[in-house]
Amino acid sequence: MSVRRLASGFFLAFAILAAAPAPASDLSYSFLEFGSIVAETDVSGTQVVGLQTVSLVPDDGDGLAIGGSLAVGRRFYFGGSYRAAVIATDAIIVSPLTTATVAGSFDWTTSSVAFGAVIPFGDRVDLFVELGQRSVHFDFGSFAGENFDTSDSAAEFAAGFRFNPTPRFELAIAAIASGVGEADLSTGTFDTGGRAAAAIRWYVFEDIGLGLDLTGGDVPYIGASIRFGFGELRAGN
Amino acid sequence: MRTNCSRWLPMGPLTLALSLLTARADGAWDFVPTLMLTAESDDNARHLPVDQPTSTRAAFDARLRAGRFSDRGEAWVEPRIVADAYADEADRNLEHNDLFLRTRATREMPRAFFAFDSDFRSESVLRSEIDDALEEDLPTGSDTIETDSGAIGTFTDVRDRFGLSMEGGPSLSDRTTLAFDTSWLDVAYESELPLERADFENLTLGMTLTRAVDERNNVAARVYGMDYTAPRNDNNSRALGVEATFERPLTGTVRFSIDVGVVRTEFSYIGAGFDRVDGVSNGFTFLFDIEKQARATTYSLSAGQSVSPGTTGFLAPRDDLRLGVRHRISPRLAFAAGVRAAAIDVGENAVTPPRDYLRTTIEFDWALSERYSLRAGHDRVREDFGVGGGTEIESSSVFVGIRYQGQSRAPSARP
Repeated sequence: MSVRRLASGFFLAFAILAAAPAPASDLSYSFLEFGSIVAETDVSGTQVVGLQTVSLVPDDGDGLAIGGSLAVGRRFYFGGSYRAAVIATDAIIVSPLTTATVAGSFDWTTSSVAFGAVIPFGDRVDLFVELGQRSVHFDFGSFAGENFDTSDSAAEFAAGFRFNPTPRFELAIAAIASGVGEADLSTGTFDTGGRAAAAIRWYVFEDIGLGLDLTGGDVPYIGASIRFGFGELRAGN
Repeated sequence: MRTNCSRWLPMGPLTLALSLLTARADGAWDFVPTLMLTAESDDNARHLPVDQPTSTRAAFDARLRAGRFSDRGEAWVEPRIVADAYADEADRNLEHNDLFLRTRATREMPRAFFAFDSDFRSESVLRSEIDDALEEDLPTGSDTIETDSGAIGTFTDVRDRFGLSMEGGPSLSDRTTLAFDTSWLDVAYESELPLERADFENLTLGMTLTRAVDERNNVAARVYGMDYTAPRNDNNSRALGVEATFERPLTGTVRFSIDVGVVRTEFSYIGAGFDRVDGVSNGFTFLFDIEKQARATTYSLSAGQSVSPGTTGFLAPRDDLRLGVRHRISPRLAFAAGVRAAAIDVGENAVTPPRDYLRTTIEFDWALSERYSLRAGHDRVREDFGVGGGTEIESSSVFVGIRYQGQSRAPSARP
């Protein structure tokens, strides 16, 4: 699906929402959250440098996550997130004389900003749609003169549900289509791809929640987070 | 060598003028003297890792808080001197007259607030490098930034510390406040020889959005940046952090707050091998705080990790634990106990060794009259610092003294 079609769909949804009733759930769209993540990836790449061939075999690593959102009026919000992890990787270096395996690591960072809209279904379920921009960066050192650094930025579209069966719990799922979906470290490019995300959150008090997040994609990760909700704080109201 | 307090002296009248200007001419004058005479016996006054003869010290502590207050704010200036004398001739090189000058001004307006602090201290490293376990005043302004190095090392050194801070902002609504804050810290030692300490300057700028979500819960988000320079290791570091705070009462007298954030630090310094070390680090910060304020008993417990500008020569992560309990046993007898622990990391490839310390203090206070009281207590410090397994140092002291506490009419007066 092209970004232009995604944008068209989003603005159509925007127009419909402008005339829709306000969301009725207790879920806040003004929050700030922090978390720790464990990431694992099978993104790989191979490059030839002179007479040597360098192949990456990434493993897993950990990092941090920060995200936030600010409600705009009663139906829309601005959101943003940042994820960074240091992931261990082996490099298999094959030369005419020998084959060697060298251990190392690389930095993976991704950040996004998005504008979203909310459609309530009853008083416990919200459908949300987002259109945003995502940047992904793989930052390697060099094992044998190669350069696997890869970064790009592209639009992405997300749709999902937030469900609070009781005021203390929240379940969220989302499907995301992105222009920076699958990284090919051999060529240093990205393909369009999709990923899914799910989260469960327990609100210790009304405005502070402990969460467990699971996100797929080419660098899937699981995260534990703490969310600080700002209740009905909204920009523009 | 970088001395001394003279270059900061012109700031005194300026800060005082600004303080009084902030509070303006309304309100009433308030003069609160506090005098203390204390005798203490310390089994390791120099904090050395070998047996030491016991040192006996007498200290005279005099301060006067003078200012104006009204229902819309306050402004005061507080000069203080702590003069001491040791009984043994061999300890005379430990004597030092510690000088302090603090000012504070706050102003509440219908739709905004403003606060200003200045804090100058010139004190022996025997008292400046290991934070007190029992605090007399709640820290405000630049005083909230921990800058103790956690190690005494060369015991005759003197630290000069000057901090300026301002905070203020508008009320965006009945429940939402926006505040901007800035603080500047300049710390200098008369001797730059010890590895444990280094001069530094630090500028902090922050912006905080606070929201009273409902009648009980307050949530805040803060963005801040720090610019740190330490000449000794040519450290130039910049940090950018985001943190959120949740605060809520648990009972009528007990409140708790939790603060979580991330901070990204870009650093550049001369490392142990005299090579330049450049890099970026990401880290978490957090603070858990619970406190009780009741008629007979108050306590507070805070534990957290922060990235602090330090006299270690680094913008370094540090873990802090602080516990304080004050209990009025009877109308005349009060008991206080404090625990202070810190672990200060400096990262890899640094000249300065990491260190941690634990300090405990207990104190009994017997009121002779409304203004006079007798004090007695015990203070113990344990340091652990150094390279390759570390050096452990213990120091234990007992103290007795008499205190005169003037009465304040200001609503924010300490008890």
